[in-house]
Amino acid sequence: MSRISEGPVARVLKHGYLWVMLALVFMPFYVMLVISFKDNAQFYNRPWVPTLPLHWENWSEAWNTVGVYIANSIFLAVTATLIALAAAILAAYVFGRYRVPFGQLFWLGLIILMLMPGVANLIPLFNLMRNLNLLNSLVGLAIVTAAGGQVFCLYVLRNFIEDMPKEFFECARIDGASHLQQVIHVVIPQCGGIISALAIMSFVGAWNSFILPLITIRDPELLPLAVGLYRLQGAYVKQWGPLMAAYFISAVPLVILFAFTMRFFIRGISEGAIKG
Amino acid sequence: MKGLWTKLRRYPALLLLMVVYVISCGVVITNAIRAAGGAPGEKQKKVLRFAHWQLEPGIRSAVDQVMADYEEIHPDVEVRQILIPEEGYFRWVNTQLIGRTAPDMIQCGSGGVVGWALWPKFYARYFLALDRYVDQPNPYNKGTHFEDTSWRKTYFDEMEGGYDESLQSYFSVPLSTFTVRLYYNKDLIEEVWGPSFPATYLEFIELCEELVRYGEQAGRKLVPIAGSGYNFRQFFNAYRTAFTADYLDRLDADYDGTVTRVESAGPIYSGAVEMTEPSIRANFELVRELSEYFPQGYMALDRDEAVFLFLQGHSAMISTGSWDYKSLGVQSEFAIGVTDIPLPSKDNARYGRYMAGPQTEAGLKGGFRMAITKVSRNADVALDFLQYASSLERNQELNEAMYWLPVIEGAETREHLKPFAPRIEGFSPSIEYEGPGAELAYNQLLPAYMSGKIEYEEFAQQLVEAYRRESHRGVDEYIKNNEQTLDQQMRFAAMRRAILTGAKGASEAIAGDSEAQYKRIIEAYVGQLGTRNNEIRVWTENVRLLGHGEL
Repeated sequence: MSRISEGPVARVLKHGYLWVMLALVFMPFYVMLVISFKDNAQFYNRPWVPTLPLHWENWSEAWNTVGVYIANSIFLAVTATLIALAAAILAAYVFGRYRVPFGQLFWLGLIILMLMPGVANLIPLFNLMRNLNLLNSLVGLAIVTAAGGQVFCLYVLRNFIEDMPKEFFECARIDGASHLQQVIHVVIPQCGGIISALAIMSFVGAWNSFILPLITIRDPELLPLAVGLYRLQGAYVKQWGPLMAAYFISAVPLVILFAFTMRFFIRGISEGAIKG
Repeated sequence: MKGLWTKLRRYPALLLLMVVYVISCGVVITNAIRAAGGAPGEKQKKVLRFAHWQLEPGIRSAVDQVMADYEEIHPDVEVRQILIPEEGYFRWVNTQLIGRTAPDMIQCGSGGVVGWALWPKFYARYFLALDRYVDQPNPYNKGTHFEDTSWRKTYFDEMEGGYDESLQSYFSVPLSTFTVRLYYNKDLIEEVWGPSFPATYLEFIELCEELVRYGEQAGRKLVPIAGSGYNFRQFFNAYRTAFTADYLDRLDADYDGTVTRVESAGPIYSGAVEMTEPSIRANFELVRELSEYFPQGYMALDRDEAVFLFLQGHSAMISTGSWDYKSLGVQSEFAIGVTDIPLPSKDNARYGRYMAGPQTEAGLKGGFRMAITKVSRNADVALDFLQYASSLERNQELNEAMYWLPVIEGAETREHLKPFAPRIEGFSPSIEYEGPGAELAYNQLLPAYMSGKIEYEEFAQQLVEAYRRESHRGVDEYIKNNEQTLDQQMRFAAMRRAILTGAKGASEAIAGDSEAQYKRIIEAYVGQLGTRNNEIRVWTENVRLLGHGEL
C-alpha cells in the first residue's frame, strides 16, 4: 500500500492536485495583477492576458484612492480591538473569578446579546449613535464596533479564567497585587495565546465591517476599506485598472498580518481545543 | 526603555502594527482637521460637500474644475465631492437625511418608484425651498445678456426641472439635461451594411439580420443590440408611446392631457381596455421581435454588462442616454455614431396602422439636480456655488467638459452632441402597463414573454388576472400616498399663509413672494385634489363595470 502511495504516478497526481489547487488560489491574484496594468479599452478587448503599454499610473491612482481607506481601517480595527479586549479581559476577570449579585443574570444578558444578529440592532444603534453625535466619526464607529465585538471575547475569556488554578491568584494577592495587577501579571500572561487569537479575530472582524460604516460614515476621507472599495466597485462605468490595483493593494495588509501572526492564532485555537 | 525595545524586537508584527497604527492615527487626525475646515489657529475654511452619483469618466474631473474655479474666487471656501454609486444612492441619502449628517448639496431624483413617491416628502422636510431666489438675477451672469434676467428665466425649461409640482416650490438647481438615443459602432456598421445607418425600421431589421450572419461567418458571437434590464426599458418606452399615443382620448378621464397610473390601471382591470387590443399587442410583439437581436437573458444583465458587450465589439448597437457619450467615446476603440431609435413608418404592412409617431421631448426638463439641505451650516455659500455652476459661462464650460447638454439658454452645446438635441414634435406616453399593485407580476411576466417562455395570450391573461388580484390593494396604497402629499401641500400653504399674516418667525420659512406662492400652492392643491377625486371615480366605475370586487 505504501509502495503505491509513494510511486511516481501517485506523486504526479499528488503534486498535480496541489499545483491545480495553488493555481485556483492564485487565479484571482493573477487576474487582479494583469488587469491592474490596463486601461479600459485594453481590458474590454483583451481582459485576461498582459497587454502593452503597461499603465503604471493605475497603481499611483489606486494608492491615492485606497491609501486613506487603509489608514482608516487600521485605525478602526486596532482601536476597536484594543477597546474590545481591554473591556473583555476586565469583565471576564470579574465573571470568572467572583460571584457578584445577579452575576448569572448579567451573564445570560450578555450571551443573549451574542445571539442577536447585528443587522437586527441596526436601526436602534443608528438612532443611538445619532443622539450621541457619533455619526460620521471613526472614533464613534470604533467604540460601537468594540462594543459589539467584546461580547464574544468575553464569552471565550471567561471560561479560560475560570479554569485557571486559584493558587495563581492567591499567590498574587499574598504578594499584595491589586485586581488590576492580577489581570496584568497573571491573567494576560496565562491567556496570551487565546488573547492573541481573539485579537486577530477582532481585528479581522473590524477590518471587514461593512454595514455599520456604510450607513454611519458620510465623508469619503473617513471611509474604511470595505466600504471604500464598494463605492469604487459600484461605479456604473468602472475604471477596471485602478480598481484592480486598489484591490491588490488592499489585500496586502491582511496577507502581512496573517504571515506574522499565524503561529499565535494557531496556538490560541489549539489552547482552546485542549482546554475544551 | 531599552528593555521595552528588546521585548518588542522579539515581536516584529507587533512593532510593525504599532508603527502603522501611529501613521494611521496621523492620517485620521489630519483628515479630521481638514474636515473641520483647517487647523486650529489657521483661518477656518467653509467646507461645502456635494454628493452625487455621476461616476462616469470625466464627470468627476469636470466638477473638480468648477469647484477649483469657485475656490479661486472664494479662497475661504472648500468644495468637496462625495461620489456614491447609483445602486445604493437613494438609501444612502435617506440615511444621511435621517441621521442629520447630510452633505450641503445633494443630487435629487434617484430611487425608482419608491424614490418618486418619497422625494417630495424629503423636499418638504429636509431641503431648502429656493423660491425666494429663483426670481432674482443670478449674480454670476453679470456682464452677460442675462444680467437683469431672473435666475429661473435663464434656463431652457424655466427651471422646471428644479420645481416640485406637488409642493409648488423650487427645491433643486439643474445643471445638465439628457435625452436617450441609439449608439452604434460606426466601423462595424460600415463594414456590414454601408456608410449610412438604416433609414427605415425594415432596413434596421435587415441590418440586425446582416449582423447575425456576419458574426456567424466570422466565427464570432455578434449580438446586434447590447441589451440589459436597464437599456431595455428605454427601448420599450420609445415603442410604447409610438403605438399607444391614441389611448390618450380613451384613458384621460379628466381631460387634463395626461394619463395617470390609475386612469390607465382602471380600464385594464375592468377590461374596458383589453391587453389583446391590436395596438397594444403590436407594441409587445414588435419589442419581442427586436429582442431576438438582444443578448440571451438580457433582462437579467446589468447596465455595465451591456456596455461591456458594446465596447468589446460583441454588439453593434446600444440604447442609452446622452450621459454615456463621453464614457463610451473614451473607452471604445472604434468610432461611435448616434441616431434615433428606429420606428416603423406608417406604410409598414404589419405595424404601420398603429403608429402615431416618436415620443416628444418638448417637455424635457433639467437634470443633474442639486438641492441644498436644511442641515447645511453654509446654505448661503452652497446657494452661491450652485448659482456659479448654473451661470451662462460656467454651465457651458461644465457641460463641455462632461460632454453633456447644458441647461442654460444660449449655452453652446458640443458639436458631437447635436444628435441629442431634444425632439419637439411627437407624442406623450398614454398608457402605463405597470398599474399600482401589478408591478411585480408585470416585471415577472414580461421577461417570460420576451424570452418566448409564454405566448402573448398567456402573458395578457396572466397580467389581467394579476390586476384583478392585486390592484385593490395597490390602488388603495397609491391613493393614500397621494393623500400624504396633499397633507404636505396644506402644511406648506399654512406656512405661506402665516408669512402673509405676519406671524412671528414665519418670514424665515419659505418664499419671497409669498402671496403668489400661496395662490400657486392652493391652485396645485385644488388640482391635485381633483386628480385624486377623478382617480377614485375612475377606479370605482371600473370596479362597477367589472361587476364584482370591493373597493
